[in-house]
Amino acid sequence: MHISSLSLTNYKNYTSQVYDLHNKLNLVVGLNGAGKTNLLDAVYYTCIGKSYLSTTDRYNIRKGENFLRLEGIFYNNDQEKNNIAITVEKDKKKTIKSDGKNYKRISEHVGNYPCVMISPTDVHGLLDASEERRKFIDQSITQYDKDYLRQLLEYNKLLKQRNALLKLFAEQKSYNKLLINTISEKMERPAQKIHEARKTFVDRISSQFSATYKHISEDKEQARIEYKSSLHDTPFLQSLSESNNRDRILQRTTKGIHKDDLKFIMNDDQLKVYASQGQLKSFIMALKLSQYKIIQSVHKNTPILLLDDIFDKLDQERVKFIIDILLKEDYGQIFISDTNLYRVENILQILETNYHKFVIESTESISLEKH
Amino acid sequence: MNLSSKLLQDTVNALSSLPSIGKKSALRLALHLIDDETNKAKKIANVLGILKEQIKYCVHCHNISDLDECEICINPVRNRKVLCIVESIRDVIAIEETQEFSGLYHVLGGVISPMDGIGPDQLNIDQLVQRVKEQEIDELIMALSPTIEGETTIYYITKLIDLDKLKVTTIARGVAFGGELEYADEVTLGRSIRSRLPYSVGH
Repeated sequence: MHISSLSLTNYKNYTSQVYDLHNKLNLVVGLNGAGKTNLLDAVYYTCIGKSYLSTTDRYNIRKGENFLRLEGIFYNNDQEKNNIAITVEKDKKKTIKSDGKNYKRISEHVGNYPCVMISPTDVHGLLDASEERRKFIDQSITQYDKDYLRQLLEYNKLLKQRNALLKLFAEQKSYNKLLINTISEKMERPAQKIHEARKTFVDRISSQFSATYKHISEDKEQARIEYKSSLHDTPFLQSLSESNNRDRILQRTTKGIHKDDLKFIMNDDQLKVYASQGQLKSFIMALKLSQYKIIQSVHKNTPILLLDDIFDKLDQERVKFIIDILLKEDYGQIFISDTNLYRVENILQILETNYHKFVIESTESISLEKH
Repeated sequence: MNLSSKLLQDTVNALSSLPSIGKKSALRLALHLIDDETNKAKKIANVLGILKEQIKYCVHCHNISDLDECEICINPVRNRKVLCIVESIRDVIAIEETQEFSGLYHVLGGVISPMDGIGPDQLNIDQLVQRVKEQEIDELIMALSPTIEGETTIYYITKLIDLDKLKVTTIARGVAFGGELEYADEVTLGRSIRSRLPYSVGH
């Protein structure tokens, strides 16, 4: 699968631009702040229906404008053409059109065109916040399992109701055991389904991950990931009832799949304590490439891979090594952004491969070279 | 909306505070009432005053009523052993329109949603439990919205009543009559496959 053309209107710092894209490799170079990341994010947005970097849609609208529009021409693995157009207007609902027809729900778009982005923010995000690690799992599974998103939405809605009820109890100094149990029991089924799906996903990705890490890091270290969940040993309802008193005092639900986590391990130690900066970077890169491979292995379409500024501070040999892997192995359409105008290009010329190079001086001035 | 008359402005503001009436419709209504020569405004004000003063809720089912007991509850022809549980009076009216139901109703006044500050105490759930205990009832038909809150409310009620004594059913959820399958959303369609019905001639 690939995007053959992408047009951006009022997207972040872009006014109006159309890109003619290479079906295998696109190189986006320019100085900091020129708009490289925004271009990659626009590709992600068109694939997934939302930005990778900012969660609020209207913040993606160019300053002083009232709307944004992204339009991409996709070809799936069967070479069928599909035009996807996303429009966000201020104070209005986002609309996504497929070949000119509106989707009834935005969620119908999610998962059709898989996409994986590797961004410099991932390292801190994934290492520091358990919320980001859960988001990583959820983002992966929703791209191939439509039912998962539904279960997640149901669970989160019930969780909100349960937390609101705990607050209500505290405010009114009352308690209704039957009602809180009713909500807990309603959460059980989605919780179990989510747990199952996450377990299957982490099982798959962890063996892929260890191999990928070894490969790209050329490292002797043993790196692996583990799925942590209270549901592993304690049934959902039991752990909820065990933490009942605690929940009432804290006025929120302290156990459940919304507390799940991923554990990053290197040589049987916690990654963060043990690893060097370079190892951390390789770890996250291997994790995201494994995410790509897992989605690729279960999805009918080959995902798009977006690499935003990942070669920063790497020496030429490492960059060549990584690009070599990306081109040799079975990755689909790739976008690479880099602040160095020639670094990647020099390597591509050695490797004798075709690509499109976009030199972004500003969003008004972009030149395309076809190689 | 900036109007030259304060009297008109007040009227427009008052009317547009009603559901599904915007400023423009409110202005149209107000101008109509000014032009009208049959004293409509007085008559309307009068009926509204009486309505608000005298309208009651039925002591049994909490439906709207002129007397302490509503027309449906005192109708001797209706089947007193089947109760249809609904969220609001509008649902009673909608189901009555179908002419398919001959039992009695119980209006809850909403569904459980702690996020909106609505717990069982804000609803007519205790009254329902009492009714089930005191009267001879064979079946409760749950006709609540097919939302997470609706489902939670149904589940909560079933925990409060003796399920050995009576049958609890929910209205069918599925593909709309006259609708086309390909346009039904996946959740609805999936659900109607799971809870499919045996085919019978004449339905």
